[in-house]
Amino acid sequence: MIPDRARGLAVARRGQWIAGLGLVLLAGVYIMAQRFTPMEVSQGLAQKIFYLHVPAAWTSLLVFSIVGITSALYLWLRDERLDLFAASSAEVGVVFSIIMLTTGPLWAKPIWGTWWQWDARLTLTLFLFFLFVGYLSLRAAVPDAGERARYSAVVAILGFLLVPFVHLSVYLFRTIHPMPVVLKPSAPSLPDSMLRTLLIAFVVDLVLYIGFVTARYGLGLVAHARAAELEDRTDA
Amino acid sequence: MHETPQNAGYMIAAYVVTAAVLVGYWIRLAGKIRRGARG
Amino acid sequence: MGNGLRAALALAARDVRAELRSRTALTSALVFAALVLVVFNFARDPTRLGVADLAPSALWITFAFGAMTTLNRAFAIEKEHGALDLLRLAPMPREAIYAGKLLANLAFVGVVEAVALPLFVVFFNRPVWHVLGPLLLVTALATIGFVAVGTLLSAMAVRTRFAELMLPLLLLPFMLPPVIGAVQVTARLFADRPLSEVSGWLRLLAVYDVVFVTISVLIFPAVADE
Repeated sequence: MIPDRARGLAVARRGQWIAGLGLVLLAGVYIMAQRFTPMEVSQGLAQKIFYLHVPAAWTSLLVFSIVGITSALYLWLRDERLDLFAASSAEVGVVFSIIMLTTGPLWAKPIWGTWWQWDARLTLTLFLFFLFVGYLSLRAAVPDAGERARYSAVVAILGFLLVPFVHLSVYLFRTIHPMPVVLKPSAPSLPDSMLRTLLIAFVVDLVLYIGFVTARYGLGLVAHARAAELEDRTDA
Repeated sequence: MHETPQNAGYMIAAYVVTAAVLVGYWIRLAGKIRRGARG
Repeated sequence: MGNGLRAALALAARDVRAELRSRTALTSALVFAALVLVVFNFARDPTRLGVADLAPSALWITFAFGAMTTLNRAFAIEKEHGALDLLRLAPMPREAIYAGKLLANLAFVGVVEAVALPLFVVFFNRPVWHVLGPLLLVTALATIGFVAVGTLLSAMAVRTRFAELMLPLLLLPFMLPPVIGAVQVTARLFADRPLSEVSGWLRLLAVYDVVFVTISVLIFPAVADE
């Protein structure tokens, strides 16, 4: 049983290295955003929050979709690795949604004059966070491993289906979020240096996600191995 | 032409929070890996 | 399918009969709904906010929380009587178990709403006769949606630690779209606007019901199986 734990630790350490590289690259993004992007005239320096907020939001949404899709695959294939991967992703998703939810109001206060607005996309991001936390709380509250995997997969799939409804109903309620300036059918309406910095920041967030999720996954393997060791000991 | 607003404080706060969250999570995972190797 | 439907109806009838015998859960849920209405009346500044301004919100918060307490009981009763495992072994399709539970829950939540509505009329001085038809329609559309998800979630929550906390934590996000829609429609109805003005909301509620009833039926076997 010892080799299993060693393998998990090796995976976790590799993830830790990738995430460490991501943190170094993030320092590069900070320098790019401060030195090599123009000052936005009407918003001032607060506009530079955009280089952190928007990539974190994209990453949260992507991770949320990954959790939903791997959960559906788990219910189909019943492979434990898919469950462990979904759980690891959800935990890292919480990290990125915390960044999204703190940097958002820090931008909104000087620009909109208020920390929070009940607009469609803001509410949506808040719900991503609620659903991630609900998913992880459920996992923590189910003792049996098989039940835990199935229940949390069900919640992830339901949450995945809920998100468009939240967006649509709050949108009909009212919305004031700035219209998308990057992801829209016509050419992005951003200066090149701003767009480049934004996209690089997104890639760095992806590196961080891959690193963190690998580390978390490796730790999950270690926990599995340890549970198996305990079982062996009680059997003997 | 209105003046560019002075709001560097908000930007610094956002950059510090982002770094703190990511580095904090990295350290947390590092701690778990160390414990996983020992126990 | 005919067999499954009959099994579902039999299961729902059994639940309703059991509840009629004891009446503990339903009585508590009804008193709880009345209490929410009372608290709502006093949780406002009477010099600035008339009771009529709060009426649609009060009605829907009462319905939502009444449904929540009712759903919390749904599978807890099974668990207390140790009937949950017997139900799993029963020779009936898993989908029929879900459908039976859903029908029984809709009946219970429907009773709570049917009692809360007259109380609301009295406490909030808000006659509803002239809009009763459309109001019942929107109530049915919104209720089916969150009870469908709630039935599925309560089947899981009951098998977790701190089940009473787990159900609201998981279910409240799913109550948001139905409650937003229902409050919007109810407010328009109380303002004597025509139903055509809210057809978009009604369609959204209907789509929500179709999506979540379908997925819940399809996914329930994953919850029930060993």
